[in-house]
Amino acid sequence: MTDFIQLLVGGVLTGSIYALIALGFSLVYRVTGVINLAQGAFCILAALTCHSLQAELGWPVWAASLGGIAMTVAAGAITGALTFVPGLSRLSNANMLMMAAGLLTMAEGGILVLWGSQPYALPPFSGNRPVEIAGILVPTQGLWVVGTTLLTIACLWYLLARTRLGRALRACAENPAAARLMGIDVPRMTLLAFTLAAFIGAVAGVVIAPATSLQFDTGRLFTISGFVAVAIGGIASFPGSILGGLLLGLVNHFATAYVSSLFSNAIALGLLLVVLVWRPSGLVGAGVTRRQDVREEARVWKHVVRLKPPVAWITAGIALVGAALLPTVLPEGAILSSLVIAGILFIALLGLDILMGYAGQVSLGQAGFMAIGGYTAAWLAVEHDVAPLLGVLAGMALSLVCALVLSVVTLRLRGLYLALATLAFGLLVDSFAIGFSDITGGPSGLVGIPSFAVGGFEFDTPLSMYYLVLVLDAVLVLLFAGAIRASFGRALQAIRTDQMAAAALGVDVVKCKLTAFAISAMLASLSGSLYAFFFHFLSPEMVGTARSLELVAMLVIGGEGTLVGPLLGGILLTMMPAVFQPLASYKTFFSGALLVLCFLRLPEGLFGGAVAGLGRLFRSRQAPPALVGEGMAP
Amino acid sequence: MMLDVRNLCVGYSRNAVLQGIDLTVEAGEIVTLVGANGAGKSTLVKALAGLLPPMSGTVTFDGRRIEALPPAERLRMGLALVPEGRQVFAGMTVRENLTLGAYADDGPAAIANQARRTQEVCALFPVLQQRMDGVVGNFSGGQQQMLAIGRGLMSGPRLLILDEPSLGLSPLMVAEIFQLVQRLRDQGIAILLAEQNARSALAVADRGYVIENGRVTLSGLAADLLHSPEIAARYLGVGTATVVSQAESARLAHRLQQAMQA
Repeated sequence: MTDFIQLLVGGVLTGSIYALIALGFSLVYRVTGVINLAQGAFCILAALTCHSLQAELGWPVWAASLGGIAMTVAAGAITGALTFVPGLSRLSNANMLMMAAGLLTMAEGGILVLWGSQPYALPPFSGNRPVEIAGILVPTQGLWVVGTTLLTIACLWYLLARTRLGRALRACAENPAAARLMGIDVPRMTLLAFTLAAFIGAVAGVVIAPATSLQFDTGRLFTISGFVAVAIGGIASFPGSILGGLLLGLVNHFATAYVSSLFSNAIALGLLLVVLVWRPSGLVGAGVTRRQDVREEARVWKHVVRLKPPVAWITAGIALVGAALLPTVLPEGAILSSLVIAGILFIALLGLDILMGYAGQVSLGQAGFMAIGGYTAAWLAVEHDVAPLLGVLAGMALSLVCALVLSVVTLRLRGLYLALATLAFGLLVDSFAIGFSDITGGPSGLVGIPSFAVGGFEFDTPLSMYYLVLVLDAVLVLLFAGAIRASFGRALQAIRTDQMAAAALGVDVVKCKLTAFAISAMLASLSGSLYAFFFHFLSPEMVGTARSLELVAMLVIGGEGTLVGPLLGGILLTMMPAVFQPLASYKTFFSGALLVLCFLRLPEGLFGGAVAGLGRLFRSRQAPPALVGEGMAP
Repeated sequence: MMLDVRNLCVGYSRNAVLQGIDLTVEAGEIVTLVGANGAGKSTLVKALAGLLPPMSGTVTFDGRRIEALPPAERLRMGLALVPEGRQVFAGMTVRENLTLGAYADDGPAAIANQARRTQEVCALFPVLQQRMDGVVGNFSGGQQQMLAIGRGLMSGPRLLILDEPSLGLSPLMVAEIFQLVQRLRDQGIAILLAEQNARSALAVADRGYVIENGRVTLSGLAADLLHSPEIAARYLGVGTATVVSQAESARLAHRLQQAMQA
């Protein structure tokens, strides 16, 4: 019984931190309609700043904590003013979500550069000896955590319910257009909400820091916990967020104690998926639904300028010949290997482009399918001597099955909730990859994977893999270029532009979405298998959530809805560390920063931007500019 | 002259919706904007409230150019808009909605003004007084419209712009809204009324403007407009078919015949 109560206390302590992070999510969501995935970055930033102020400058704990919070709030305000607020007026909510993911990656990369990858630990505020209350041991830091959480909730409640500023914030949350009419400066209130969320996150980070180990990517864990909490509890409601946080803390503790610590995350995520199916808006519904008639489904859809067929064919031919001849001038080494990796990832990117660029379905869990494909093929090859080709097909089949099962969830969801469900799926696969250590080798990974082989031929050199991947990529691009110009592609684009109108025109929305989802899952799986065969090694973090976010970054940077564009994004992000060795540690930062920049400045991506630029150049030289039709939706 | 709009052009991205609007409102006047759905009435009132930036042209209020001012500044000068579709804050109480209506007033007398105006609004709409702490979401359309007008009055406007106040209300409620418009004018508030319901609007207004495709096509005394055959044919509906001249109907019949033969 004491054990049970001890667990209960532990769960509440952890849960109250989750609740605090969840509150930050909820605050930004209610005012802007966006899930700010960068929330966890504020926690880790404040905690690490606090650590540095203590360790490097010798500040006392209280001063360092305040300093850490102040600096994080300043960083949050600047980031908000430069990226988040300007983005809101141009991007759809789903794109804002991805931009926030870019901000998180950027913060992670920045922290990696500033603090390195080693873990840090902070001393507790008031000593290591736990307090005993009625036979239950409570760590003193836990009391600080609960106290801070309660205080923050009380202050936030007072601010929102009782003050003029709070009323204005709530007005923006409920109806931004009417709020403007009342003379409320909506962008300023948005920035205020974002900064306030940064403050809450920073406070959470500083008080939890002594109870956990801090690393550059701990921010992602904070984000994920807070996001799972808020998705379970109900993002549009503060009581829901708090409830979700406590529930998640309890589930984690009890699952760790009674099942296994390896599966505690999987259980929490399973719970989340059940909630998403059963009540997509969370356990506690909002008192008022935010007016979403304007923005929720809106996508900023710029017309993707495409090359004319003859130009496209000639360019593609030249590119293909160039790519085939490239290894003759390149030394076999890091650069060739990076190209192979980019080519392998491009297979997954093609699927993601079909799903996101053409069908408009956001997926933040694509690496989950890479993991399924990679582990299935690798495990079959290592443990059962199954031929790699068969293993690849088995992985694709398994991915297809998983995609169909997952689509029970995803077909019901759109936009934001779809992004959340796929993110949860990716995390779930992630935690299984860690949990099923007998099959996957656990966190340390699966070793001794053979090379890919067909018949008797082994693709055991980077050069042979290069040509294999080149042929595969070319065939797939050709195949999809055809499919996209056929009725399937038109149906997908109709769904993206207006699902209801597409359905009214007789497009079988469910079938098309399912097909696009299945295609993307199988391609990701294929990509994951080849990835494992190429590296002869596979670990969960190679195909984890960071990979999913990187894929999205590559897609957006390269250009959504262009098929070949993502290859540019893929090559750029893969080659950067190989070509500029000194910049390797900046890779994460750049990939996040580029993603954010692309969303703000170049929504059509590198490829789309280049084609549009070329088009303008030719047009101004040849004939009087034909403005008719430009800027119109296709 | 209280409000003077000169050659106002407003649009979304590259397409101008309003193409050179000229319009004036004198103190104590009721002026109505009549026009079909999509003619540009809502765009015009949004531009006047500061929600849409004009592409060109000037808006002068009380002798001061206001076309570049933010909504808050215009509210403080005494120009308020009651938007189309009411747009009340449904999750808040009546009191909170009214308080937000006075948000722009941040001067030293803000609290006193707010209390006084709340009383005035309650005197005007007793039903709001009774449900002061009720959440607005489950009010009837008429009650929400009253609240929207009350909220607009909270900033103490001298010119109140009403955008389609009769939209979606019962005939009884519509009549009440138009009576209210006259009462507000009697209290010294000038009214600019954008309405599809041209007959009722022209009946209470002093002057009227007809807007078509982003331009003022006709303007004058409301009484004259009400009896103008053009208005009758286009905006006053079937009941006035007799007003259409004999020549007109003969011409129409001729065209119909031609069309059928072709």
